[in-house]
Order: sequence, then structure tokens, then C-alpha cells
Amino acid sequence: MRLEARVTVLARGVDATVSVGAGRTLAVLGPNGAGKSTVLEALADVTRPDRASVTLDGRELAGPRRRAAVPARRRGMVLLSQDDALFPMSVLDNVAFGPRSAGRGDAIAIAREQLARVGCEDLAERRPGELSGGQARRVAIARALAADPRVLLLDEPFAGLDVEAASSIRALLRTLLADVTTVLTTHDALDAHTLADDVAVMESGRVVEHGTAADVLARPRTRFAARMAGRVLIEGTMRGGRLALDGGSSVPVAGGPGAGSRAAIAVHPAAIPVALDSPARAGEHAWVMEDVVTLEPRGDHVRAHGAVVSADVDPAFAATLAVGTRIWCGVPRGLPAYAL
Amino acid sequence: MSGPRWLVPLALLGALLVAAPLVGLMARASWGELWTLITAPESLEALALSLRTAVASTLLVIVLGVPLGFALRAVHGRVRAGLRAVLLAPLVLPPVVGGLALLYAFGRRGLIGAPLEDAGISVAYTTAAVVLAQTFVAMPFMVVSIESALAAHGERREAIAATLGASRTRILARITLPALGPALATGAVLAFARALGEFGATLTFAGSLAGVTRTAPLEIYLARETDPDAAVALSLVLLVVAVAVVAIAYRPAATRGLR
Repeated sequence: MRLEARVTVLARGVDATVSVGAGRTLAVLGPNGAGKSTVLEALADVTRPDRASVTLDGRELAGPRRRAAVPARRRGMVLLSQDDALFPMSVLDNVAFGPRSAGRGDAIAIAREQLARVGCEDLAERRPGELSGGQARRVAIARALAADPRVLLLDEPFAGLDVEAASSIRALLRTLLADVTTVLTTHDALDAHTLADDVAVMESGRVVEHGTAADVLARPRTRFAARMAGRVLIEGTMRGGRLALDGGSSVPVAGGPGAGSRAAIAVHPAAIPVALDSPARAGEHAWVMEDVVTLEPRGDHVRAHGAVVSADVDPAFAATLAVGTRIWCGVPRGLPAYAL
Repeated sequence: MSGPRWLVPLALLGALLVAAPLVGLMARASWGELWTLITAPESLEALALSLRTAVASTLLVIVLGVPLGFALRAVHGRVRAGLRAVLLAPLVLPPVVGGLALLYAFGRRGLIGAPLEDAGISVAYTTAAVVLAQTFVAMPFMVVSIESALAAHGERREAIAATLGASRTRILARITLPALGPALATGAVLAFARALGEFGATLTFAGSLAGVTRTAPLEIYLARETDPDAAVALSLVLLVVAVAVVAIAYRPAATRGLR
């Protein structure tokens, strides 16, 4: 079930191109407001796109002629929304809704089977109001799978769940999604890491990077993608075995393209130590001098951004910094460089 | 919220204005003969006709008014404002004007009535005319109830149901209508009460033929001079129904239980 799609929703500034191979999982990774949900809704035809080209296994579901677009109920793309949207009927009837809509006589049997797969067979007679957040999400997943989707669309599958429920549902989805063609949205690189084969990074309604999860998350090509992947992108020009940074310093790297090519390394900002004075030359870091450009509070730590390098520091240390403070950032030596 | 104290005497005056006539009616009733009066043939005949026609028009209001509520949500802007004004007009139209209008539409020489007459179907001055008049005046209650419920109703579940492969009819039957249940019940109860109390449009359009078009309100009007005791007894029946209907239809939404 290979899905190829480009959808444009002008009102929400979305113009995105995505593709996912049969049985694979694509994570659409981006911050809140990037238009991820809109992409899923447009794929399912729940939101009518202004322009769309959607092909599933060579069959055109939407094309230049808007009136010819296949309606939501015949696309075989099941949307699982953040709010679960369970229907006001029993859990069993909820899960049986899809197969019943398809006119299947064994709808109840299918529903029981799917409820068992998500570990909720004992909730069959409950009403949606009697479920916890995690239970409701499991039931919604069972309902989606019971409809035997050609493509499963998961909108932020862990949104609104407590940490415990989120991690158990993450583990559940890892097994359930193995052979289902899936597009899921997330703002969390961890979800992309654990669940996705492919990643599309979205920024302001556009897909800015699209590739295998390993590629996009470990070798991001834009600062934005690196940020979404939980890394900082350090860009420069190859000079022998070193990456010459745009600020003038250089860092020894492994591999990378030929001399003179633009290249980058992607570093976890927590792996970059920060000092106020020029440190001793020895050590496994190449020290790069920076002036603080911005200080970004991020929960339990602060990210200090220089012109080229960014690093995470603890809040106590961050209190000694201000915009313009001279700092030294220790970039680990010998990281793999890749062409941009 | 209790508001400033000077509201109290005004509220009391208001309560007096509403309650005094009801108390007056009860004070005038001959309680000893109440049962005999209500079960007198004329009274029973009128009450039975009222019940039959009000039930019929409530059903018509459900079958036609619910789609009208949906239609109102489906159009936008000025078209919706204009359509709503037309559909809700019977709510504020003097019933006698409504009756005249019905006469010129469905009467023997009316716009639609004349061709019907040629086809051998006569509506005016029949029980069907009573039902038509009652439906005309009661419809807005359902339209308004459904329209506002739809406006407050998110379409998330409908969208998800569509991706699960459900047809529009199935979505309507299994998702939307159950969610509209309380609004539908309120609309139906109010429509039934309005139909039961219909007087002006019925008298104008359907006349006052005993057993055919003479509903309880018409019987009360006719009996008020010849047999005031019977009129008061019938009035009490309608009063009880009215109070019961309001008690059912105007419960605060929170106590109704939406699931």
C-alpha cells in the first residue's frame, strides 16, 4: 500500500508532500502549529484540501479534478484523532463500528479480537465515559484497526496521556504497527525514533526533510530538522580531516565529503560542555569560542545558542550567562561528518 | 447570583401576574364535579381529538422539522438568516393570520388546495386541516431546537466515523441523531404542547365541527358562556399538561445527562 501524496490547505498555510511505503511507518515530525494534523485530515479527506494529489498503490484517490476525489468513507484511510472521539455507545459497539459499516456479519468477533490485541477485552461493555485516558486511547486504536485500514493515520497518539499510559501505548503500537502502513504525527523525536521507518520534518506547513528515520534523525540537513531531532547542527567546510566552522574555528571529524565541500555534524547539545574561560587544550573536545546570542529555557535546562554551536547548560550556570557573554563550547572530536 | 435587593419586589409582582390567573382558574373550578365534567361526551370527544391531532402533528414536526434544522445549518450567511426568519415566523405570527395563510394555500381555492381539490382531495375543514394548522405553528420549536443543537455540536465524531467507512445515513443514525437526542426531545415536547393549545389557526382554517375539528381549546371557547364549569374543567386539564411539559422540557441541560 504505497501512499504518495501532496496536499494543499491554503487556509492553514499547508502545502506538504509525503510518501510512505507498504507496511512502513512514516512519522510527520514538527512543532505544534506546523500543520501536521491538517496533513492527516487532508489525506483522509476529513478536511477538504484546496489542491490534492493522493495516490494509494497506484490508484488515484484525489487529483486535479476535485469532484472526482474519493470520499473519506471509501479511502480506507482511518484517522485516529487526539481526542479519541469515541462514539456514545458501548466499547464493543465502538470497535465493531468499522466492520459493521463494511456490512460484515462477523463484526462482533472482529471487535472482540481487536479489543484483545490492545488488552481491553474486559472493557467491552463499558461506556466511553467510564474509561481512563489510556483505556480510551487503546479502544480508539482497536476501533481503527478493526476497520482493516489500508493506511492508518495517527494524530499525536500520545497526546494528553500521562507518562505511564503513554509509554505502555508506545510499546503497544510498536507491535501493532509492524505490518500496517501508517502515517503518524508527533512533536517528539523519541516517537519518531521508536515507531517510524521514515520521517518527514514539517516546518510552517512545508515538509523540509523527508527520508529514512536513521538518515533524518542522525544526519539532519537543516537547523530546524536537527532541532526536531533533538540535536544541534554544526555546519562548516571540509578541510582535510577537519570541519572548518563558519566562525573560524575547526573541529576534527570522521569521514565526510572531499575538501572544500559543505558538511555538518549533528551533536546532542547535552554532550557539549561549556566553560567561561579558555580550557586546557588537552581532552576529547575541540573548544569553540562563541558569544551567547540567545538563552532558551527548556524545562530543567537552558540552551545557550552561539552563532554556530548551541549547548545545554544547567539553570544555575545559565544564571551567570547573558546575551553577549563569551563562552567556550566543547565539541566532541571525531564525530561523523556528512555532506549537506 | 442574587442581584440587588430592589429586584425582589419586581420579581414578586411578576410572579403574581403569572400565578394569579392560574390560581383564579383553580378557584373557579367545581372540584366535586370535575371528573364528571371532564368525562362528559363533548369534553371527552374534544380531548380525544386534541390528543390524536397533537400526536399526529408532533410526528410530522419530527419527520419534517429535523431535516429543516439540518438544512438551516447547511446554508450560510444571508440565505440562512432569511430562511430562518421564514421558518420561525409562525412562532410570532398571530395564529389567526396563520390560519388565513393556510386557507389561501391549502383551502379549496388555495394555491395548492385548488389542484388538490381537482384531484378529489379536500383539506380545509377536515381533521387533516387541524393537523396541518398545528404542524404549521409547532414546527419552529423543532427547527430552532435542532439548529442550535447542531451549532453547538462538534463534527469530530462524524469525521472519524466517515474514515471508518460509514455512510452518511449510518453516521446520521448512529452518531448525530443520538447526540441530538435531548434537543429532539425538547423540540418534540414543546411542539406537542403548542399543537395541543392551538386555537386561532385551527378555528380559521379548520372550523369548529364537533368530533372533526373541534379540539379542546375550541370546545373551551364555545362552552365558556353556555357551560362555564365544563370550560374550566377542560382548562384545568390543559393547564396540568402545560405545567408538566414545561417541567420536562426546561430542565437545565446539566441534569439531563448527555451520554
